[in-house]
Amino acid sequence: MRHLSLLRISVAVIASFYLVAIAAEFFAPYGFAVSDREHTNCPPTRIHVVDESGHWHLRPFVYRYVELPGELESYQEVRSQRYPLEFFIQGAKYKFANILSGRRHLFGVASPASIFIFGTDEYGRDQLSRFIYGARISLIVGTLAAAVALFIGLGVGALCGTFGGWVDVVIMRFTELFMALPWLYLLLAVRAILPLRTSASVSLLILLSVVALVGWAKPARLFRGVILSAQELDFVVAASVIGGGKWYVFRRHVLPQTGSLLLTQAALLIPQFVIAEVTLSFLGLGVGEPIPSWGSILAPLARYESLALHWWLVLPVCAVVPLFFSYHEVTSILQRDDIPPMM
Amino acid sequence: MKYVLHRIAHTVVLLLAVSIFSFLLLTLAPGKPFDEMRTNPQVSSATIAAERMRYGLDRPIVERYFYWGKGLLHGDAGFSFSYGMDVRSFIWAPTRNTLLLTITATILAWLISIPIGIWCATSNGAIDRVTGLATSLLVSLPEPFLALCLLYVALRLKYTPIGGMSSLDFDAFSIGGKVLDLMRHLFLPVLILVFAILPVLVRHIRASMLDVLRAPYIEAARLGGVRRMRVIWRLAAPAAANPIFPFVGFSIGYLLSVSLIVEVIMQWPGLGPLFLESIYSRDLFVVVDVVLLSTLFMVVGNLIADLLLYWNDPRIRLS
Amino acid sequence: MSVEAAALALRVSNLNFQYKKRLTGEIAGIGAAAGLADISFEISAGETLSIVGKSGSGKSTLVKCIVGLVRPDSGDIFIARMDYLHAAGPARKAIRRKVQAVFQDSASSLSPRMTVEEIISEPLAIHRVGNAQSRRERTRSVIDAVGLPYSFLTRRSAELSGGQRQRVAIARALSVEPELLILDEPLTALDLSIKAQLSNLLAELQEQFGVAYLHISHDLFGVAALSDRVAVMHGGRIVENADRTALFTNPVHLETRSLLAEML
Repeated sequence: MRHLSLLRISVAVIASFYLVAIAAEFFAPYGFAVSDREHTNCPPTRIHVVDESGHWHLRPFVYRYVELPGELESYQEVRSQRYPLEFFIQGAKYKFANILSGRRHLFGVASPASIFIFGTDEYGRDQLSRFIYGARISLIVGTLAAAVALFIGLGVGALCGTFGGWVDVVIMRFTELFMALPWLYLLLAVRAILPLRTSASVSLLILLSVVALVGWAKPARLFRGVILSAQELDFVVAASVIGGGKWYVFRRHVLPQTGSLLLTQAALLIPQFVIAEVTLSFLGLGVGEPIPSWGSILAPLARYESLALHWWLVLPVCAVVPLFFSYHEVTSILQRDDIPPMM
Repeated sequence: MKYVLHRIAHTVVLLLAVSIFSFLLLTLAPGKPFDEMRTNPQVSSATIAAERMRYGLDRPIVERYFYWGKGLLHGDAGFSFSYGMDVRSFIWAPTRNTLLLTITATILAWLISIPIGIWCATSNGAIDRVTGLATSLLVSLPEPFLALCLLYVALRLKYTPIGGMSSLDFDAFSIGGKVLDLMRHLFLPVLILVFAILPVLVRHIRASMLDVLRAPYIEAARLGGVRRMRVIWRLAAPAAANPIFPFVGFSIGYLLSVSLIVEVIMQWPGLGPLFLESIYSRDLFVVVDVVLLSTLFMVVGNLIADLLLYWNDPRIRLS
Repeated sequence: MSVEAAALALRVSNLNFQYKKRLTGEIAGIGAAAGLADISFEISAGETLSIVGKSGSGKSTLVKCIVGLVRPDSGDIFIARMDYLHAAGPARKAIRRKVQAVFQDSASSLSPRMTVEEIISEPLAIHRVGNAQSRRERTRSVIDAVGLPYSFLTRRSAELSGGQRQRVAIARALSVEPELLILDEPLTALDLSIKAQLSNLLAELQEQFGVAYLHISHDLFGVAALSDRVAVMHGGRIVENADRTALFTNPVHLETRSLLAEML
């Protein structure tokens, strides 16, 4: 029972990440490319409940930050004016999927104050907003790539299982080849032979294909195993004795047997593929600027001087932990209890 | 014996397949191989023509493969366009550095995770749960993030040097000093790698130990009066080791990949930064050579792991 | 393609088969399942032929050939007067409809995910017999024939007892009105009392539907009650093939006598 509630919490966490990523325009207080030149490298905005005179306020508020005269990128609060935190605030315009346009954001503060929960980077871009938009790229690329890899893996496994013979042998050798290379080297090598500087949508496509291409081998082997043993099951054999053709037997009896594996593999692969995307972006081989991805948000940190001076840049790192932790929990619960797909 | 030969033959065939794959990578890359070189003013057109001849770019593809492969076996790893020299003249230092990092990390990771895994399996619930939580958290940090976190901690603590492989005045040190300096620089990257793979290893060792400890003969030994430590280390652990051997191969491959990231972040002069650089500059021979080298290490590592398994458990000889 | 005037549910002539190693095509060595050597026999419409033999005699291989799981090296199989081995595609499928099977282990031969109704109507769906309505009716009529109530239609195989499952398996086999029913040790896994019930059921159904049975068994009980004729297999060959009474009272082959001694 404890497992089930833990499972539910994990799934809820994962779902919320995806929700925020999809509706990024609403959840992010600012756009991802918006630069505030007056607040570059600004630390996270402090949220107060007690004001200067010691009064408590029900609604949290922030102060406006101004640069200290003479000192670059040192900020102090202007305590004269409180800017309460507002929800469903009317902020900058956005266009969701190029169809819906709106102005409402989940939260924000009135200008000229800003609310930088994760601080800003060297260009004055709100890190939280970039994190949320980055989630969109990283999560979507990772999830889609995992879906593609699983699809290919299932298809290839089915080919091996139903045809057998030399088809099986050749394909298995292929998977061995792909699995013999260290995955990151393979990933980068395949990425390398494709054009480096392309438009955003082409980059996305390249990213997706490369990640999926590198990851299809292991699932293929696993699916093949499941399909081979499923074909030995008595009721599957019975179906062909009755007169069912190969495709019928596969569709009606063998395929449902792969459901459990599909689920566990999905839970396992999606985070791995998200990490692959993050790694690629981190190394500068993902989607180009200005579209952020979790990897590209952290790329500047490789220069550890910025890490030393601007500690808040590491916050996105902590923020992704709940997501991966939840995926990890889901995976271990699925592998432990083998919960049937009818959940 | 037959098994050993069979495995070695399999490895050779695999490497052959990888070489074909790498060669295909080389030829499929868009852009002609010597474009970059042409833009480099330091390289004369005569050199370009000579290199073209050398690689027989006008010959059919199969012939080119054999030509390239033969050259590879003789130590000719191609020409680097960005460095303007043969790859073989500068590839060994990064290779050595990566191997140093990865092998040290692998050995250390196993040395640390075996006791921890066994300890978890044999301890009371609280320790086990806490460690379980810690490993879950560790595993939830993507590798680049883990590296950055540890880097940040190191920055704050200022105990170890941040980045690089040697201090500025390295050459002035004595032998002992040089070794010490190397170790100090090695510390943080190795730590990151160990942390990256520790959760996986600990989990599996623990699981395997738990499985073995449930076996009746273990309980019989305990009831028969055999001391606990002896039961754990002499009876249970060797039995639990069997399912763990495949992970040796896995750990090498995994750490090779993670070391790429760590080397880039920590500016460790290994194959990682070289690889990245060559990708940016389209220096394809270097790209392919690095892929080949890293695969070679991984495949050989797996082979060694398989041979270890074979040596440990004669039952494997059946297959 | 009819063969003879006599309505033969099954005619097997000179069937040969040897198990080969996958991929290499080499003949499998000692220890592999037995092959078949020059098997020939007939089953008339509505008749029951029981094939008995020790394990390794080739019984399962023979069944696999007839149900199409394995392709014999040479010989002919005529199912319902149609040439099975030389048929292809839809013709093959039509022939398959004429021969159905009931297996020993009902628990594993019925899909755990399907309801009884789905199980029984699956052959009807595969061979596209009638429409949804007529299939439902047929399913109901056939589950009635095997002595199970309609309420069982919504249950799953895990909820049934061994005997009930076998009835479902029989219903499934009969739904498409086959001419030949292969019974592969159908009673072996059942309790003694259930064996009797089911044996009677099979006899009734044979009278009712006029279906021929090919009964594979080493079970004395099943053989004695059901068979018209009995054949004995040994080493991949049929060593004796006689009328039931004749075989029991006057066995000829050594193998037959040895088997009878065991059974009794």
